Amino acid sequence: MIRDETLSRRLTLVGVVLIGISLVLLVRLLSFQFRMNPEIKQALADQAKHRYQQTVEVLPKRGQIFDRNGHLLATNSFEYRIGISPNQVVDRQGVAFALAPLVGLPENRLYNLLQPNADGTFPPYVLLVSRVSAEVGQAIADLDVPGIIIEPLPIRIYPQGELTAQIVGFFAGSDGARSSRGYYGVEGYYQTLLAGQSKRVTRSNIPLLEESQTQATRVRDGMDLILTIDRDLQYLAQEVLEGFLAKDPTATGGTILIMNPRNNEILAMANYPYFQPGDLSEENMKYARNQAVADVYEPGSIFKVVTMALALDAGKHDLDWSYYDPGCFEAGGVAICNWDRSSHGNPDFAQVFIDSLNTGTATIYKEIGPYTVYPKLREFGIGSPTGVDLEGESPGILVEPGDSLWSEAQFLNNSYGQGVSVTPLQMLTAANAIANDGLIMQPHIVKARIDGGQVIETQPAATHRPISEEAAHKARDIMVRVLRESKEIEFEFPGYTIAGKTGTAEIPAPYGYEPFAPGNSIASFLAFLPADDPVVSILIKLDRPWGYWGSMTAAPLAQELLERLVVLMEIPPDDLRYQLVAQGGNPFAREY
Amino acid sequence: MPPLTPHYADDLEEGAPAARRERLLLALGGAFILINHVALLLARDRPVSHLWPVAMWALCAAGGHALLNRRLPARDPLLFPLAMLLTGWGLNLIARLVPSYTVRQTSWLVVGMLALLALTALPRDLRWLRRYRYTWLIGGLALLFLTIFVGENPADTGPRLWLWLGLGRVYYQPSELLKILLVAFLASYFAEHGRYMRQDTVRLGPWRVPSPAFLGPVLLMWGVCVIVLVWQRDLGTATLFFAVFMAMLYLASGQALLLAGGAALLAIASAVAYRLFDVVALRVDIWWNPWPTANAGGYQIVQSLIAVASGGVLGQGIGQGQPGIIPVVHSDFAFAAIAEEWGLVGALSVIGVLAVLVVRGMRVAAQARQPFDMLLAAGLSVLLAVQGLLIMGGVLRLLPLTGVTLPFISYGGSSLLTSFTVVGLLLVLSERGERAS
Repeated sequence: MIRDETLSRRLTLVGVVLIGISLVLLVRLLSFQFRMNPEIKQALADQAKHRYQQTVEVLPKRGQIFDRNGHLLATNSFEYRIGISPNQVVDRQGVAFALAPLVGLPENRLYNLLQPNADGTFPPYVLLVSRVSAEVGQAIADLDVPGIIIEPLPIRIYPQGELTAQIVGFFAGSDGARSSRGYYGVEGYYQTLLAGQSKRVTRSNIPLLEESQTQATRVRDGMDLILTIDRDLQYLAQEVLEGFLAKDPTATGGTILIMNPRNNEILAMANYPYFQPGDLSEENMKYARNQAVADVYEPGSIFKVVTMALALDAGKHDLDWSYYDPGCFEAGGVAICNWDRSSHGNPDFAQVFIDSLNTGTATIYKEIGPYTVYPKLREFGIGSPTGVDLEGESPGILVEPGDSLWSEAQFLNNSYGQGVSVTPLQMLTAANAIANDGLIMQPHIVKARIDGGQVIETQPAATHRPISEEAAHKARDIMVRVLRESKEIEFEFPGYTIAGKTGTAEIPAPYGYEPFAPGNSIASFLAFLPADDPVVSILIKLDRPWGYWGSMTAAPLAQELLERLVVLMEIPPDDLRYQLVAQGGNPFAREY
Repeated sequence: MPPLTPHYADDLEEGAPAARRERLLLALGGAFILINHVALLLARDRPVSHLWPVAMWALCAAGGHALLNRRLPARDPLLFPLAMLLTGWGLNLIARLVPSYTVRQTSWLVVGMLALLALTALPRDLRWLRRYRYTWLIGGLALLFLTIFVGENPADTGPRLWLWLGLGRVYYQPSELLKILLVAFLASYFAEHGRYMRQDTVRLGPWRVPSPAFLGPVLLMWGVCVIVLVWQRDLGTATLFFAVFMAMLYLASGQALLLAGGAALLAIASAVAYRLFDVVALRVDIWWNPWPTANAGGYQIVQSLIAVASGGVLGQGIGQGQPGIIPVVHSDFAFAAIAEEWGLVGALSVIGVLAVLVVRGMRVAAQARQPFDMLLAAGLSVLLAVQGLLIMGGVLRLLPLTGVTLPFISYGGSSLLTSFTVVGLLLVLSERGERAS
């Protein structure tokens, strides 16, 4: 049969064919290293580089936020994301037993996660738990399980919880739709400063080369911020507000704002409803904004302090001015009436404000004229943002001559705070001009920034002088008389001289305003004290209280607030204060 | 046949230098594997105790060597060390890519080793394999058929029949066993009928081809194998069977025309399969141009090319590349992992070692005195060669991916067992050839 010769010839042929194919393989393999199209080779090399090196962002420490007395309002911590590479796990049973209680999975479930797929391959990564606390993360790291992947997730902690949540804002990590940054309030406004500068590091995946391939650029940590907020005052404001709202059957919300009119530092800023930091649910997100700077409302009669100061400054009116009060009069097709719709005879300038007569302020505006009034209102900051360092500030609404919505009736309405919309902060900032001898300071919430070891104080800066010092003093004196002489205002504060004004605003509705009824008004109260040397000013705004009038709802609440505030801020009664001044001491024990 | 005893004594004396050569080669291979493993432990920061697979390997090598010296003193001295070198390299690779599979692969090494040694204990004339060729082949086919009913067929990775053993589920792929049984069947059939092959021909145009009466039974058996495999979408193994069949038919008949005809047939079959099977069409399209789907269907092959390209001449070093990115790198793409971490030198070494192994197998065939021995040795060698070429060509994008394993190196117990059985048979055949000459 087969002869040796033919046999070896056949075997040789088969061998030659196989070797021929191997040579093709060989050439192909060589071409990868030596003869490949340089473009493709470059592309492959680039892609391959990605597999050996990873460029990771080393995140800086986000700046912390403190109140003015050093209480922590926002700080950082870590949570950990725990995953595992099942192909690195040899002792599945042991690993499942050790890890199960820490990651909160049943042991058999965890064991199954470590098994290969049906086709015998392993998934490269299995997520075990998306968030565990730092302690649990450390415990897992201590187990030293092969293949475990522990990734730190920076989180933000707000030790004061809802107390300062709307002021501070919140920081959201990369989970969900939001990218990793601060939102609202200080966190949003100072995002860049707080975030600092991250560093991009190119790391080799080859463990032994890790050190030599790191790039050396510095991580710049975020700056720490010290706020003007006083945690204790904030708590007081919140407690007083909450106390009122808990008892009132119709009230829907409110704001208490406490500032230092001398430098316009914001000392407290409480709103209701509250916002819970760390809760990203849609329901909670509705309250993320700070109503005191974000929401506008028609302020009503407290706006008359602006009218008063403006008129005294404009020069046409002085304390000896008086007019005939008809109770109601018609202007531009609209009736302008006092709150009681009745005539108060021939009141003088101060009496207009003591009795809060709409006909009086309207008459004053009419006499000054819109072309003097509106520029002045602008100088008071009405209709434009105050520029406070909080994210989400609203500019308010001021309609001026030339705008299609403007009318003479609207102009006269403005004199008593209707037809103009302001934020609570705008309102108090304007009133603070009277307390601060006619000068408006830039309202602000960051008292100092700490960059490394360096403390950069925020310098108080004057932004406007809407009125003269003299006009401011006259207005102030009338405001003191308002609280003392008004028979309607339920406010008694013996021992202290306080300047103030109440307001009851109608709430705009389609085609006019909501009808006169309990729960259909916004009651407010603004004040500063001591009137002759103010250190603090407050604004209370109550949405839809049962008692319609500001003088009967906001005023007693202000009394309750101020009674505790003077103790907390250690503001002495007038007689004691004068004694202290006479002895050459500082009457204000606490520095605000 | 010359008397046995004097030859036996001669062999012992002459066999001594061959045994020494084998020992030296095994020691060199062992050193290579040990160095790789130590480097891996250093790169991965693993404890020294993780060297145990190397110890197991050394145990198998030493035990195998000792037993082979006693049973097959005149064997080919290269076959066993080369097979052990590739297996050890595979162990390095699996310990590096899928540490959790190391235990299994090492166990399969032991099982393979035992199978190899068991073969040497069976009658050396291999009558048990030759005589009962239909029984064996039909048994193998039955096993393969069984997978259709009770087997698990995880997407795209071929059929598996699972058997319950004491320690847990162990998968066995009957198509692996069928490879050997088919080669044995063909060798036996052709050896018996070969002498009539020349006379018993029919005219087909200007050519003379073996008559259907002769080719009928063998085509039937072979056809059933291929159809079952195609049915199970194990197209890589089907292609492999086809190539081995053509090579053995040529060796038996000597008609080079058959090789050309076979190639043409394969081309036609491929074209038909391309039209008929989505899997084939998909694989061919990806092979032709993987770049548009580099993040989806072409991901595997593109990552494989990147791995090969990033290997450079000397490689990244064990444990220091990123071959883990390639899906199922430990079985189908072991060659890509070697090209990345051992570089061009490593890849060429794998091809070289496999080539020498195949050439030694061909040499066993050339020295064979019996047609069955010659055809069996040649068939098994071609089987190893074609399987290696198919998967290496696939990894390098010279051929569409077929999903066969790289002999000895890839993860997979069935595959390793088959490879060891092939080497065992070749060793027995080499002993017979040496004895006879």
